Amino acid sequence: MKSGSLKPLLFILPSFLLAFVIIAYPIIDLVRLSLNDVGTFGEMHGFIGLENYHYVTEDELFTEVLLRTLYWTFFVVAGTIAISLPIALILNEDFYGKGIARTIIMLPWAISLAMTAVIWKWLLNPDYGMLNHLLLGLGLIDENIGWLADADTAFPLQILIGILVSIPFTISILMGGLTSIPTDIYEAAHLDGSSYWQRLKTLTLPLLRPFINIAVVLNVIYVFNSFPIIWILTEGGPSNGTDILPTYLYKLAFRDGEIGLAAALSVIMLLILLGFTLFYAYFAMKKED
Amino acid sequence: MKKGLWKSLAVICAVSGITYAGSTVRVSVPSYGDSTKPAFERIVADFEKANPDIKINLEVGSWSAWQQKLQTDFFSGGNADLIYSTRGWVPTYVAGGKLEPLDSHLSAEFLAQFPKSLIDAAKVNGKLYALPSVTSARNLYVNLDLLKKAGAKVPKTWAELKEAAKLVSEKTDAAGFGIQGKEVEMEKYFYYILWNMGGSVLDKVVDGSKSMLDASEAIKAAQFYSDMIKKGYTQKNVASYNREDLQELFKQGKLAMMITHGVLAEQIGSEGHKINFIQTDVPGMSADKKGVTLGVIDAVHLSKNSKNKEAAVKFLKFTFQPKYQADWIAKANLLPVTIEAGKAPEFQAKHLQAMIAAVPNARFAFIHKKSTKIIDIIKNELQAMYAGKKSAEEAMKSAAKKINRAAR
Repeated sequence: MKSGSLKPLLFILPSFLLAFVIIAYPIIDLVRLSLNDVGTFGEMHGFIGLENYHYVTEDELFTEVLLRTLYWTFFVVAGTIAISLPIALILNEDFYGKGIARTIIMLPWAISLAMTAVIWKWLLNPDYGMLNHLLLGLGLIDENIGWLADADTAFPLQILIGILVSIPFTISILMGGLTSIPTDIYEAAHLDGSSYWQRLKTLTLPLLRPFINIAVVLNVIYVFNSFPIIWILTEGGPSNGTDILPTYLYKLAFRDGEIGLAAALSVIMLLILLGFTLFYAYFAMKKED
Repeated sequence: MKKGLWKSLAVICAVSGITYAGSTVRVSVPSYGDSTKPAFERIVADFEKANPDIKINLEVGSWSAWQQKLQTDFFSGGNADLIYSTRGWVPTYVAGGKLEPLDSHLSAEFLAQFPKSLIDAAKVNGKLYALPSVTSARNLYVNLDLLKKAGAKVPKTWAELKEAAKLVSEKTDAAGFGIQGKEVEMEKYFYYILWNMGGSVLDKVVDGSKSMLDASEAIKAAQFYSDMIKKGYTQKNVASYNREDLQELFKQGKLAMMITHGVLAEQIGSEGHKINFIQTDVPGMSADKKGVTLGVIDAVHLSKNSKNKEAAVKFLKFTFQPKYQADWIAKANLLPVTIEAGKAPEFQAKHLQAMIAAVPNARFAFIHKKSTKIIDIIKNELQAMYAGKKSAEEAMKSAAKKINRAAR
């Protein structure tokens, strides 16, 4: 009996060890760094408790950047879901040229985020960019606008680009969900004389719910941790006006050489994401059952 | 099958030099342009020919990520023996215990080849952790046609520069004076006015502890740039221009004046831009006294964990022969660091001579073990001021407060 209960544990031991080395070890090391006074090149100057956490969080910039990260995550994810859902519904219908339409929607996924951001940087260049050229041509503006020179214009544009690049991935999740809904229930509803909106409200959306939840959770994690768009377009500037936690973290670690502070910030970010995921899993996904 | 595998592994090891008997020196060099890599490859080839027992592993990388590369290299202990970098980061490396002082490795005779001012500026805590490798000084570039069109004269003082910029912006389609508003060296563009107004960033050039940006001189300097931007004497959207963007604007004839290094003059010539310009001294406060300009020193370091220090120093000395300096430094449009190399015909080009003329009035930026953090603070506050979100006084006082906290 005893050996029987040990055997399964033994079988999962290799994968457990692998997961430990890949996931747990870096996290443990991160926590260790965050509790020590660490020099620019990783030299340990001794245990300092929560001092790094205090120093990071009492900086007024931290609150500013944290709030901006929450806006960034909320608007990009909400915008992505709001646009992706109708597109996924349309792509699920039968129409002429459906294959081409699907390909076009998915195509941006094939381009790396960094490349997309570089292209946008050129489009938004005040002197040679296409956007100013277009708006001037249409007579909508009378002089060039420095889109990225001011956080008030740069940040909303970054959110817009964030939405655009998140759409293909989200649509693919939602399309997967739509194809898994059996067609016979629609036929039955149709026979009962239901309208398109009734079928959408009572059949499609409830059945799609688990997939929307997955899309939300995965997008929140990706967007919260997203780095290239903001980094390439503005490096978090001007004057930290577009910094989100990942760009701020990068600056702390690799520009300022504050490894201890950066580790503390990483742990805080990890806790925020973990908290969100658990909260969402508990409230939103519980309803599915 | 297995035997075959071992055999081929042994062959690979032998070929790749794992069994190499002499000493190996790894050298990291950031690229100053297309000419850097071939020039260093020639030095390496000549050196290895003269010293068959020493093998040089050369790696040439991009400047833009150089700081991060060196930091991660040092972090993991996988750094090179000889590292080309810049004077600005030396205190950080020294604080981390990563560099070997070169004083005991280099003879007084060898060091006598360098101007004393360069060696002194490169020292930290009285020790030479960084041997200057290249240097440069900045000039004011003036588009003569634009100034003529506007009826302005080449400025000798900052007041005259403001007047000339005003005339250009009012009477032509071009911008008067270019101010750099982001990325590499953005903070240095502020030093021109800051230093000439008598201000400074920190109380000491090396490892200062108190910021001087809240002093009246610094506020006055910030006010000067801020005023020019507000009145429209500079290019629009200052915060979206990095150094190269400004140079591009000058090359297109859309900017009358800017301060930068010799690369711009060389590019105007080689890219065929039809610009009638001069490289002159950075303005001062009065017409009879030349203005203070920025001098930059890049340097080469010997790492503390190097296992082949002697061989590394041998290579280091080898690279300072005038013919090699002329080869890689002149082509990068920078200035050599030894007196002898400066006499080479390669450095007699007009644009390099203009920089050489500026050297006596050059001052070097502060260095500090938290210099990148401090620079980040200055940049952010300046950007807020350039965008009109903070007044000069608010920006400078806030910068001083943050720098005092960071320089802990």
